[in-house]
Amino acid sequence: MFYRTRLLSLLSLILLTLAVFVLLRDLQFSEQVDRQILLQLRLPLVLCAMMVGASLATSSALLQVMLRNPLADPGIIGISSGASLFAAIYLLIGGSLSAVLLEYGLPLFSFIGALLSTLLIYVLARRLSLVSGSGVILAGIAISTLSGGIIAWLYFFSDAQSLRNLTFWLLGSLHQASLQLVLLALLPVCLALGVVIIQGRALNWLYMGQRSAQLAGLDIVRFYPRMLLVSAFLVGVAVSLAGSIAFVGLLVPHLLRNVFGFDNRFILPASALLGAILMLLVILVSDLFGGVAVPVSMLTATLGGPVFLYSVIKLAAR
Amino acid sequence: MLRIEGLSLPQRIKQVSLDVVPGDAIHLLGPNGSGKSSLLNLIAGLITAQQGTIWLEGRNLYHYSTAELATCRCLMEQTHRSVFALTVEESLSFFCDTRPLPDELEQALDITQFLHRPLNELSGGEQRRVQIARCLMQIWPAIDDGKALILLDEPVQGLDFSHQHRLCILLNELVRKGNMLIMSHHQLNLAERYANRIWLMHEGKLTADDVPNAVLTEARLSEVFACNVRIVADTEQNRLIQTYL
Repeated sequence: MFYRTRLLSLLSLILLTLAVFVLLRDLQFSEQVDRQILLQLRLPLVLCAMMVGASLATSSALLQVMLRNPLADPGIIGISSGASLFAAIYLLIGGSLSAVLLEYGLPLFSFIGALLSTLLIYVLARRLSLVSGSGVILAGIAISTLSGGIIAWLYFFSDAQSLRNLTFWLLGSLHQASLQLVLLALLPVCLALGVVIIQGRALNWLYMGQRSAQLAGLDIVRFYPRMLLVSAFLVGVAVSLAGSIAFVGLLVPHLLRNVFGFDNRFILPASALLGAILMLLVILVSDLFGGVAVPVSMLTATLGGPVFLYSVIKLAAR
Repeated sequence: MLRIEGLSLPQRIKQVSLDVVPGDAIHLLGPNGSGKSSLLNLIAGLITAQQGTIWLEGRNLYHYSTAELATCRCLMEQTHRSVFALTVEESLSFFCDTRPLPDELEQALDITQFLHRPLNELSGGEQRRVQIARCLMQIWPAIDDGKALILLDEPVQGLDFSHQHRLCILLNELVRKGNMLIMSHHQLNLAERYANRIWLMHEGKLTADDVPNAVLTEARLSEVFACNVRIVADTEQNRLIQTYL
């Protein structure tokens, strides 16, 4: 337990150092310009990256155990597509709305999309008695395909400007959220992360299935809807802040479990920290491309794909 | 004390009424599909009866919270697999704070040798031993106080003869502390040797509830299991039950 506390402290320290580095890099410390850059560009960027990384990684760690499927990532099981679909609809329909409505309505719509798709996936998988097996993935693929189809129709009917906005947004970008929006999301996201992180013991019971957890003292009837709601909220916020970002959720808990074992009292907080670290690293890597804003999903999928493939091969070799 | 009054579950359990007192080692026997697992699930509070009531220590079972029940009763289920590659140590530590493994459990179940191996890589019998240990460790403080209700659904399935006997001896030691045990299985000779009461189920009904000598008779077993049964005596005059078609 002591060594895990030290590991969490080390991860926190790395996160803090990275955050300060990303915030202050290349600044000339000439007051006026730097202040503007720091407050209007860097601070929202760093906070947004940390929130998105922590939200996606933690909600994935939660969903993987709750749905008893190590592949349950919000992207793979269709929660992100649901959120993206609703966000895309809002982006296209709300194109004529004022900037304020667009900025604050988008997170709300993504959250509703994430929530509806989570509930739909759960109900479908449960109705088909497939919750413990591949049912969640199958239901997720169905939802993703359906969402993808509808988004394609939206592309078809949108004008050139909306098309560009939508494409860029769907590929994911950490640069699109304003400081106000990020600050607005900060407290609820921290609270939601806190709610998930304290469920480590209950999630440990769920490794052996719902009935075992119930026998060990978990009130399944209350736990599942609550936690699904919280994870949908986290994914909804992440999608609304940065678009659809692949692989972070799948990769982080997977790596942690491979190296440090399965105890969720450690995996959940460590996922939040490592997810945030990973997204800050993505910012640094995207800096290598000069002034070009590289879509986040492009980077996370390129970096995460091979690492995940390695994990799968290692797992199969056992 | 456990009291079951007129318990019914559609298609599975028909009007079962029973009493269990501290120190009872009850072996639950019956053919496949006779309602043994359903009865254990009902007593564990995992499913709700359509009719009837279960009283545990004078209190309606359905008035207990899930967390309260988890401290005084355990149920080992027949099927158990995790899709995650947990080690034996992890799977045990997640369910209880009792460390290290109590000596009695280690002597009977021999699991320390594979504590660091992934649970899914163990043989069926080894997995079953871990499962039994986890189940008992979950309520170990209550077992130590002699106030536990231990429910085991086919715990000897897959266990070699030595471990079958060691498990039954362990369970009888726990029962002597005042705990209540109800375990289902298909080993007539284990029931004959280690039970102090046998419940015999057939088609959802309780057809017998008595001491082994009274329940395990050739005529009754032949009728319930649709199989020829012969009871012979060994050199020490212990009854041995043989079955054949």
